[in-house]
Amino acid sequence: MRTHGRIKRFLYKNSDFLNTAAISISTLEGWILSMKLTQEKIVKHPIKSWLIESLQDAALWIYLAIILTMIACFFVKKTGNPWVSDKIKFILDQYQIKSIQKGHNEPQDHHRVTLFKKTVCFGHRWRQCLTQTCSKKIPFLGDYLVPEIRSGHISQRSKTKFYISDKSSQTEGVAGKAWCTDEAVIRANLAPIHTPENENDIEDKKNRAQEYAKATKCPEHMLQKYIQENENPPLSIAAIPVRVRGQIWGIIVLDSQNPQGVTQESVDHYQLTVAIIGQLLENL
Amino acid sequence: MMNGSQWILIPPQELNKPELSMDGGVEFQTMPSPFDVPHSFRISEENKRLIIDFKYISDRDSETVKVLKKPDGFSLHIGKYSKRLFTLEIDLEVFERQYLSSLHDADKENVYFQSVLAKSKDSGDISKNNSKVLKKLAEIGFNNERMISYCF
Repeated sequence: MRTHGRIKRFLYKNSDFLNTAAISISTLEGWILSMKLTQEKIVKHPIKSWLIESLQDAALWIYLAIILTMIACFFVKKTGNPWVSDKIKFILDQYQIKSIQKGHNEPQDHHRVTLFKKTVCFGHRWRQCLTQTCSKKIPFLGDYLVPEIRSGHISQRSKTKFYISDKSSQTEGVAGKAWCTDEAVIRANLAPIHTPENENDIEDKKNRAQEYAKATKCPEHMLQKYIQENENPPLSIAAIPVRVRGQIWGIIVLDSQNPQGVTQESVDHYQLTVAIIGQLLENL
Repeated sequence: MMNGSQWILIPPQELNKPELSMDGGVEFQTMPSPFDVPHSFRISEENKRLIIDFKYISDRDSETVKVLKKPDGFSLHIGKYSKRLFTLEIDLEVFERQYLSSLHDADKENVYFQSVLAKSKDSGDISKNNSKVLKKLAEIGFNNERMISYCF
């Protein structure tokens, strides 16, 4: 999930200044290195001589610091403008508050709005296959929908990834379906895995998890943690494609523990919200 | 003939109706992507060319637009990546010669509207989802008196 700490924000804000300073310092250091301590002008002034000698001795460390600063600035710039991320987060928070039907005092992670980004992941599923049984043929390097920004302040460490493929039959989740069809997809009234009746019945939970996986195109191994942690996965889901400069950039996923929490209105009434997110992402 | 270059708002509920689709024996509710649904359109006439513009939530400045000129008098302005139809131009002289010689004048506007959108659907240059929405729009154009009164 995208987060911006103080150092990142400082580097992003001052990256132009830091780059200019780094170039100026490296030029100055080069000039100092070319000086000879035996020169008459330098020998006469002990402080000047000591300073030049110290700077010459520390040249390696100064250059190293300059290179590290420039690399850090480059990568911070690459991760995008924190201001844009903050605005998208704010919009997702508002979207979550207004679009999902929920009861009073329910935890925020029961109703979420998440922006997923298409990202190439190296060996992600391969690692999973080492520990779990995978029925699908999984490429070592593949495209995944990865959570980028999520509403609220909890459930921010999600590692859920949905595989997307050139073949629509291989894509995972409601988000994957929205990616393939380039349409908004809604799946509501899903059956829960845990019910008061099956509290101690693991077999029933497994069967229900299989049904849930089929209904949402979700791989079964993703539901293992819900069985282990005695929690229910989202019971209503909507996925809306987001375009940036005409191309699909990612998917906004609305999910709720309420079977009727996400409805047609959740998509229909908030088209402008999706459009604004798309336009903000152009400047990320 | 028509009401100048005034933008006509399209009632969103008309185009955004959800549909049920089956995938692997599972029923999903799908709706057109908000980026494919035009929120307004306008029809104007310039130098014997009928021009229909469509406006979307992300405007045409957000991507490169290419112009496809067809031999039968049509020009399609299509988004390079999204393949959405932004503008449709029809050379009226060519169009009337080919399609409308046998029709009465009163029917012509309706025929423009329907034929143009049917043409855009058949051309294969426009994305499947966008052409589906435009087809719906053509159907509304015929059945929605308010919209027709705005247009013609």
